[in-house]
Amino acid sequence: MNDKIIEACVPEVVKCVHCGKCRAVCPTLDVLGWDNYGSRGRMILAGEIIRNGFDPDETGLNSIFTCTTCKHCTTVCPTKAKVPEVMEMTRSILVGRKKHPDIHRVLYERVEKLGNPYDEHKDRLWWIPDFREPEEAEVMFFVGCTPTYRTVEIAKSVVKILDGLEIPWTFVRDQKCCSSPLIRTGWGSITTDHNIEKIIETAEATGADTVITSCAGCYKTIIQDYPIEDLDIRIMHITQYLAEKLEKGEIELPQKPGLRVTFHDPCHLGRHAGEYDAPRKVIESMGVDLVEMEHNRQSSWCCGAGGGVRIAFPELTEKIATKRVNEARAVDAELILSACPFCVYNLRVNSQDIPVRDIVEFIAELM
Amino acid sequence: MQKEASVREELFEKLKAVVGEENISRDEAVLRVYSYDVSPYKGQPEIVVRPSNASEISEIVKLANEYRIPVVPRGAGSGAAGGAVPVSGGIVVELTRMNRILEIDIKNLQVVVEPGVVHANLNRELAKYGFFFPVDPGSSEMATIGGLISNGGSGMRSVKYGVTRDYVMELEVVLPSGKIVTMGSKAPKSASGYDLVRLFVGAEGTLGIVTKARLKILPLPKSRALVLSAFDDLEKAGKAVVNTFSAGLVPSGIEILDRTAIEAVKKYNPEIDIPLVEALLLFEVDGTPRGVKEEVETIKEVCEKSGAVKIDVATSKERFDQLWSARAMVGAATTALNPDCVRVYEAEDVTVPISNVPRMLLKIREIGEKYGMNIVTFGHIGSGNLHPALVINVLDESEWDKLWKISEEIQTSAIELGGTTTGEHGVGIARAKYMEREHGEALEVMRTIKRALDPNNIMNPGKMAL
Ligand SMILES: Cc1cc2nc3c(=O)[nH]c(=O)nc-3n(C[C@H](O)[C@H](O)[C@H](O)COP(=O)(O)OP(=O)(O)OC[C@H]3O[C@@H](n4cnc5c(N)ncnc54)[C@H](O)[C@@H]3O)c2cc1C
Ligand code: SF4
Ligand code: SF4
Repeated sequence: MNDKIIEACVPEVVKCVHCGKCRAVCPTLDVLGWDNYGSRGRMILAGEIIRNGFDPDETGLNSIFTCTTCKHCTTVCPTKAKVPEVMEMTRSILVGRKKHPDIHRVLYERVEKLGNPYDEHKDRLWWIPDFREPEEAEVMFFVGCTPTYRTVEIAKSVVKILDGLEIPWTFVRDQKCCSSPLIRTGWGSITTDHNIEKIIETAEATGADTVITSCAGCYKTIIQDYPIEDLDIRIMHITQYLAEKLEKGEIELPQKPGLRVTFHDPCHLGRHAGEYDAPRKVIESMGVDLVEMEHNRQSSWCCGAGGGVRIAFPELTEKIATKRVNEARAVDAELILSACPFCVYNLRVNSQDIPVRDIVEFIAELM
Repeated sequence: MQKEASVREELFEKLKAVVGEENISRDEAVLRVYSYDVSPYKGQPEIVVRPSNASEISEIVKLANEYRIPVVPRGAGSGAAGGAVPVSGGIVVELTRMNRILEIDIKNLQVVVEPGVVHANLNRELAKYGFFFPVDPGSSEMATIGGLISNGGSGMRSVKYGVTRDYVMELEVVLPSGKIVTMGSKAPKSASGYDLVRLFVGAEGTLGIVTKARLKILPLPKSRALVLSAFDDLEKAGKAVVNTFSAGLVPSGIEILDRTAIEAVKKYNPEIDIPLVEALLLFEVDGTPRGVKEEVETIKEVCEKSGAVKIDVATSKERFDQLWSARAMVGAATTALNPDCVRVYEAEDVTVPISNVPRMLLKIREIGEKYGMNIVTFGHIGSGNLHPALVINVLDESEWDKLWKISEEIQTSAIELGGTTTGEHGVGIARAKYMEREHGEALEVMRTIKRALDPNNIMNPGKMAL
């Protein structure tokens, strides 16, 4: 197993020419200062581990496991070095050697046992006990674990929007964690086959041909880590779905003129999936005053939570998120919007004064 | 051995007392990371420290002297010569925590900065006042001012604006003895004493550590324009540059892309609209709107007379940015040419008298053909500075053999054409072996200075053939 990963990893590792251009954008280097906590340092360490037999000490492991996989480095890198992918591969190799933050193993075991990383035993539909699968639907909602167990307002908001817009919908049946937290931390997916099977099953049962999710992490994982090339089903982030409907003139969203809002691009929706416009189209259609933070779109500053960092290195996450919230404050935003439950959750707990909402919550509250 | 270890332990504890636990490390992971810069050279330090002020640095250097251990200053480690690579081990002193702009003195056209300030950040701050620090390296987003000073760096606009050494007025330096001295003057000019500032610009950390710098700044030009001239012959492009200067013009920058570079850019980004010819010249002019207009006209005339096959003036901001980004893109584009290959920074900074640039370009092409390597070349023709990009599959040992030979031939040719192996990136380890050829007896003078200031040879040993 490891040999195969190493074989795939080496050509990517050597793409880093150590130029240091990524120093300006790595959110963890920004907080921690030491080069080993930045993209270049991590690429060097990956090379040392994979090619030069380095058995990493604790600092080495922390360097590799503090990468939020935000991909900011790749966007400025002259050789487009795939740092997040190299980190995932290196983490896999280290996991194979049983060298990893313990809490990541716990996540793996929870997903294996319970289908979610939050140690929740509740049914996934606990928040909507009356739900019955309709005979026909247009879209299937893949809720994701965070809205299900931590930010349930987001899940409820999606339902409220779909109902409000009279879009026939259902849930992807019997869904499990998308495995994003496992893949990012080097543990690999254990739910891909299950979830794909359930998507197909739901599609066949209800005629729905589109999966929507409000989670940027689930979205990236399904479109990039699941083998869905042959699947005749569209996978969409909810903002893409709404933007498309808006463009076709099929829907109208509630208005909130005059409110000064800013938008935090989730790394997994923006840099990873290349979607910057859809959330902005949705926001702008609501008549608000959208102001951009210093770092936006391709150069959006990570919220600090991704890549398994929040659970393993909470203090680091807090510092990164605080910087992001300060950027919103600097442009006098009255509200921070985002399009990912994980970003929203994380920014919210780190923002004392400015409220933070997911776009779907913002819409639903006004409906 | 035992004694050695306990002595090292003692030194570590003393250094820790100076910089604090958070700012010192000897963890293997850290040491491995601080073993590199952009060059292909490597050397592992024993300790890395991240001090926050000159007095801490002074204490560090004093301890290094006492324990006879090398001290290697480091900015962003974006140097391409191995300057920040601790080839003899020792203590790496990383200066990135010292990143404050201490004073912006517009009245006197100067700023005072700590060495760890990143170049782009300085210019972003100065832009708020309508000013800039005109040296503009391609590594602006990462290079520190201390690194730029120590490597004697420059950039695309050096034709008109000069190089780093033209902008350093005063330096605070921690000498190898640990003494903190200030050299230079706040006055716009000074004829007093040896020009120690200029000695330290380009000293690559071999004479001391720069802890503060007073730099000259200039008002941002009101207007800019770009002229792109295409030539079907390299010699003609070279002549056009000489003729431009003869016509009494000093553009802010003159860049050249030869056919290999144009091909690389087109492949990297097919949307960039530039003609595929033997040589493209990019002239940048700046100043008042009227002055710029006149200069553009003169450049057009000169280029036409010099045999340009196509001339394009970028007046819109979009076109200006597109063309300028084409130039900025070449370095990256070289790697995109072949997915299995990456650029190795070797022989990447040769500089020859302007009139010899076409010959140097042909020579590089010839060397490439001899070894079967497609060498993409681009650079600051207005200052004779070329950046050949050697691109290899680094996993293939035989390609490395080839690379070393090509590097040697290119750099030797540059010296033979009356030039130097480095126009702006510095000597470090990469070009140490050419020092004798380039400097002859003058190298001995440098060694004498080095010995006088650093008798124990603790400051960045192994660099510059000192
Ligand atoms: C993509 C790319 C483009 C580049 N483009 C240019 C360009 O256009 N022009 C140009 O000039 N260079 C360029 N460079 C080279 C490099 O960026 C410069 O040499 C830069 O000035 C190095 O700064 P640094 O902070 O990274 O220094 P380092 O690499 O960290 O150090 C460079 C040298 O200076 C010494 N040093 C660092 N700080 C101090 C200090 N405070 N006191 C004493 N000694 C010190 C080090 O010991 C070392 O010898 C480029 C490099 C890359 C990778
Ligand atoms: S990851 Fe890219 S930007 Fe960062 S040091 Fe490596 S090559 Fe440069
Ligand atoms: S992916 Fe983000 S956190 Fe990871 S190295 Fe790159 S910039 Fe840093």
